[in-house]
Amino acid sequence: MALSLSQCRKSEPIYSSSSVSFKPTPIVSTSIFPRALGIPDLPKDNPLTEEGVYLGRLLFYDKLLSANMTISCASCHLQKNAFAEPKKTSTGIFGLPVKRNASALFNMAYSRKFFWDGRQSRLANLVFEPIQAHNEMGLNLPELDDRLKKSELYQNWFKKAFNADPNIGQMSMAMEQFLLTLVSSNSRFDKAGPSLTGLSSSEKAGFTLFQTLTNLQGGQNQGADCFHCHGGILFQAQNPLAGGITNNGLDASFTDLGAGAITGNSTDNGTFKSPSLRNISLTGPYMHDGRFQSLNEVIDHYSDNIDFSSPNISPNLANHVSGPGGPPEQMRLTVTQKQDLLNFLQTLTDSTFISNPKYSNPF
Amino acid sequence: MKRVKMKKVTFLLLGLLVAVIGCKKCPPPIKNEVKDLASLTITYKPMFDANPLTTRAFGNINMHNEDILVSNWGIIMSAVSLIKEDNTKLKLGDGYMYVNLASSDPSFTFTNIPEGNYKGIAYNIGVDSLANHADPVVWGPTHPLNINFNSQHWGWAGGYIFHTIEGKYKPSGSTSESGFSYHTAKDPLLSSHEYILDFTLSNNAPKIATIEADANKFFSNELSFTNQSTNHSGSSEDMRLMSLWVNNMKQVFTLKSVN
Ligand code: HEC
Ligand code: HEC
Repeated sequence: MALSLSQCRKSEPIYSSSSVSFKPTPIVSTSIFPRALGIPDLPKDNPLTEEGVYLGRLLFYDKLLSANMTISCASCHLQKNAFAEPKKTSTGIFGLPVKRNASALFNMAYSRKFFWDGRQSRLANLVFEPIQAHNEMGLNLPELDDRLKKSELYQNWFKKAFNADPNIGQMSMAMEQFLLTLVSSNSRFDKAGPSLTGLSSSEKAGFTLFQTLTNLQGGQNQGADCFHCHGGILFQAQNPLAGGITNNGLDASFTDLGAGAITGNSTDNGTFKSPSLRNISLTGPYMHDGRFQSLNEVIDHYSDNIDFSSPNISPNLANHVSGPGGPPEQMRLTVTQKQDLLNFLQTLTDSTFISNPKYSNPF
Repeated sequence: MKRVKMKKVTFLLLGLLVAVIGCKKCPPPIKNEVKDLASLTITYKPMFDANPLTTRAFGNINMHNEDILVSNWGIIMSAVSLIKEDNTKLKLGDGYMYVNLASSDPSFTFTNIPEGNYKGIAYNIGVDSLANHADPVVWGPTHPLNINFNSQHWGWAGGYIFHTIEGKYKPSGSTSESGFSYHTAKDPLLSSHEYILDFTLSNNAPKIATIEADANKFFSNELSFTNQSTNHSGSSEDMRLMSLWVNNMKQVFTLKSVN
């Protein structure tokens, strides 16, 4: 094991030297977090350092973190898919099924709600879930602690990052640091800027649809009304009460209670986090259970197939009415509108994010 | 070296002069600053008539016989101030506050307030035109005006949603549920609010100001969800109805107590 771990690593930072003196290199926040996304919500007790981030990256890609050393975080979170997984739902250790679709991982420095049900608010705590879950990585913490302590690689990097022997507390801090540095804001849409320079007329029309209210009161509806829950620069409402965690009319009854299983409130049943739509063409299949293979199916859902009998459906879908006091109705986009919306969603892909060597497998 | 010394002396003298002049008008020097600072929590109690507003169940029935469930009620306030005895205003913190009346804790705490007697609380619902159109990315991660934190920034359209109320309703005599979504935005819909009530703040007793918010008072003959279920301060008709809604806000909010 020690042998496999001390293999040559492609991308060790240049500042690392063979000496193990404690001089972590602080990361200037503005060097990672672009101004346009706003000021990130960084944990005060875990300052980002080059060494901490690199240690976190090693851990993210290391199969040592699973019971039988076959699975790493990166097995289910693939960089080429914006750290989501091109599978309906995940498969963990020993081929065991996981009930949900693996989330994409980026711009987490701007969020306080993680997982589909928003049950975790801190990444340093979150990492223990997949490591210990019997159907994900299946490793117990004493064994993990022991493995890290015995590894020369980790002895070295824990010294550099924290001036400490390997331990699971600071392991989680290092992983948090790496996860926080996953930032994506370089899509064609971002480059186009507010004037949408360089986008095709169809893409522009798609953006207009995206951020225009649905109006079914006479004439063809001109709004797909996506921005309520996927709006703002992150393409994701952060406030759980304002579309951040809600129900988008997938089902009339729920096999997965989502946030309701966490809060115990029946009005939260079937509510899930509205994911960011950045990189959305890379992160399919879609929804918490991966039920839709393609973005076309997603658009068809919103246009024609919303289940308004879904008990906790969002007010911002249930308000699509064609007349005063009327019941909610489908928004019925035209074929062209659907195509425009799709074309627009595809402008949100950040190809530099998925090829950024700072996020790739260091082994 | 000499120059530096000269400068220092000049500054010292100048400082002394200013201090002497300044002190003429000042009360005796403050001995222990920390002792003179108080804290005040402004907390909201969402109501429907005389009863607490239910945010997780229907059962709030308005004058139009619409049964209402509020799931989101977010407010951005600016120029949050205390009204002093001389009727001047003392801005609290940087004057911004965000609360969500559908959350489990719709309150906001200000600290470092000078001790004393006050006559009331004042604020605007919404932000002034300057803040509404300034570059919004500068605010800290949990500041009321942060672009991501409370989802009340309009995004590319620019500007803030001053007041948002969303939920579902059943029209009169109907069991079918529809959504409603009222977003108050745009400069002309900034509204100012004053609540007059005497209270004293002192450092050893943090106080809580309780503002009741009676959602039923939003409604009037013209204002019903059946008539209009979505209003995002868009068209001129939207703006007309929304300004009626904003006028009604004055009756919605009442300062009940500070203790
Ligand atoms: C077996 C596949 C699998 C493995 C291994 C795995 N994950 Fe995940 N990950 C998932 C799934 C599935 C979800 C969604 C789970 C849910 O919402 O309940 C998820 C969600 C997440 C999220 C939430 C993202 C968000 O924005 O909500 C983070 C962060 C995350 N994983 C990090 C990790 C880290 C770090 C590791 C390694 C320690 C890891 N994952 C290992 C499948 C996996
Ligand atoms: C009322 C809030 C709301 C509105 C409006 C809304 N969505 Fe969603 N969206 C959600 C929620 C919640 C989910 C996750 C649902 C789940 O998995 O159960 C979601 C999921 C998605 C996904 C899948 C994301 C992923 O990573 O799997 C896509 C794509 C999507 N929405 C696109 C759109 C588009 C396009 C529109 C406009 C036509 C739109 N949404 C309007 C709330 C909303």
